[in-house]
Amino acid sequence: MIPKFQGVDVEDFFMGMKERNVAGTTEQLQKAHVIIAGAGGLGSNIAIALTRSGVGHLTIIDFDTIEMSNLNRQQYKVSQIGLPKVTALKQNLLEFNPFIEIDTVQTEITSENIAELFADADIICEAFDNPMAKAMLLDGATKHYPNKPVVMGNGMAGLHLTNEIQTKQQLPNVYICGDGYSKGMEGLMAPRVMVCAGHEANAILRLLTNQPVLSE
Amino acid sequence: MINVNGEQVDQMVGKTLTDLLKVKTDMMQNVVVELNGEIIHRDQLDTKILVENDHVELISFVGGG
Repeated sequence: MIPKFQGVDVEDFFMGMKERNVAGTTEQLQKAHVIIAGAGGLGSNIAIALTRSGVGHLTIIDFDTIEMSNLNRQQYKVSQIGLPKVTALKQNLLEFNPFIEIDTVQTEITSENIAELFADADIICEAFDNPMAKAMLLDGATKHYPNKPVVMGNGMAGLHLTNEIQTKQQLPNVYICGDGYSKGMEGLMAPRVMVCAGHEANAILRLLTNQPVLSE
Repeated sequence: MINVNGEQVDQMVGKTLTDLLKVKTDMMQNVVVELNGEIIHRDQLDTKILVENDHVELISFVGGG
């Protein structure tokens, strides 16, 4: 770990974080490794929340590059158009918190490479936009790693009611956030994508701090 | 009778999960199948035979993210 970034000392940085983070959580989060599948609207927003919260190790996997049509909801800048999403996201995240480990993998996740890509994850975070990829990831993750928690997004398009987006426990280790129905045909807008990303990120932080994701 | 996403469905006992998927969805690639609380992986769908009182959840994914 680098001791200083732009004149800021690592000790001072984490002291500042601990002033506002929920007491006792920062140390737990620093030890965690979350692997995020997809760096679009969901993945970029989830990664920012986890980075700011101090999750110590993130791996971000995405094959894509940034296009103009991403900027209405994905956390990239005009200056980053054309860059691989994983490269740009890492740049942005390190400005929010330069003292965590961020690994990037620019590749497409398939049923063939899924076992290798997620082997080291404490939590698997699904943040794809493609429904076939979402189903493939759930199938593969639960096949190879039945004991790893999987947090997913499903339905956050349009300008539908905010409160239709919920977190549900599908299986003991599988949590699915979203409205379950909005497909993206109606357009995708920043707020609901951020709401769903917030659901996923909070589920992940609750799991990492040994709290039940849903009330019992 | 079997139960699929809370609905009673007849004439599927003895058939495979793939048979059930063909009836229930035209987007098979977007669906993950849960049988009696456990995920049945894709390579098992052709051989898993439904029995009386099975409880199936079809987890359907939509696009967007």
